[in-house]
Amino acid sequence: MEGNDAMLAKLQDNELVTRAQQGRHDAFEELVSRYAGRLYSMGRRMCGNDDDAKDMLQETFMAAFKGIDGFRAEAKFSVWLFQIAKHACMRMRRKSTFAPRETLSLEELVPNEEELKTLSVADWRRTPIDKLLNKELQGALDEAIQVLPPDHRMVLLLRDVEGFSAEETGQIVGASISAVKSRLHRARLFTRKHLHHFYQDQGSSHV
Amino acid sequence: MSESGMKNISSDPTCEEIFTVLSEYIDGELSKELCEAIEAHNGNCPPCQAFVETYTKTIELVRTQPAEPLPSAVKDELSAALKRCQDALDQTR
Repeated sequence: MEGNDAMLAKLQDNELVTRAQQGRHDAFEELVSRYAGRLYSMGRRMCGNDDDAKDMLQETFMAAFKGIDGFRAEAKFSVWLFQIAKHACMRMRRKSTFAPRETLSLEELVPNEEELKTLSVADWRRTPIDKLLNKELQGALDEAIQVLPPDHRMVLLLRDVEGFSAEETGQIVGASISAVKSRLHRARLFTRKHLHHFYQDQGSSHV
Repeated sequence: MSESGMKNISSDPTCEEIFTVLSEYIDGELSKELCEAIEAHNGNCPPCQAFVETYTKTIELVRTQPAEPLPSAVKDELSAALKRCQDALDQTR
């Protein structure tokens, strides 16, 4: 006979929410196990340290637990949960002394004529991503994400790491779809620029 | 480009115009005609081709970030905090 945990693991998020709203703690615990790792990873990148990420995680799930009765079935649970997490991240950030960049201007992110002359298609483009992603590049990538302005970092993480749509991301961060797209583009440009030398080095090492 | 809207580009785009719509291009949000215009430009513009390649690779790298397992101490503390919440709620019922 199938165990209770295995049965719960097969249910959709909103089916678990319905059970949680009926007082089934095990259904809420299944939702926690689905999202805790993802929220903690995002929390570490948003807060910049493990302790704040841990506090954010607890605050998010406790708020979700207390507010689950108010969740409406037509909404998407993951969007609702990440909305709560976003507010928790903002509270953590206010306590933090870490100071990322405040703005990103397009002018500094797109290549000027001088840089355009030096750009060439390097051999690394054919390198599989798992071969390319070594410790040095991972460190540079983490650093780039960490120094992004928080509102751009959140959008990059939600769109490119978590896979939310532009519309869902807008609902989570409280911004229009066009603002989400603009922040995403700038965040991607900034990250590319941060890794630019790595790409060039990779290309020249193959020559 | 402001946050309120993405810039439109011409049917024969310049390098600068392409830079402004790269995100939408990669995400498949541009019309077929604009995609073809960008690809035609890139075919004759190695710097733009390289820029698009590095931009695309960057997105791939961000998207393939390895998932970090939740540390067991964090998991235990979360479970304990939720248990306290559940017990408090059960007592009020």
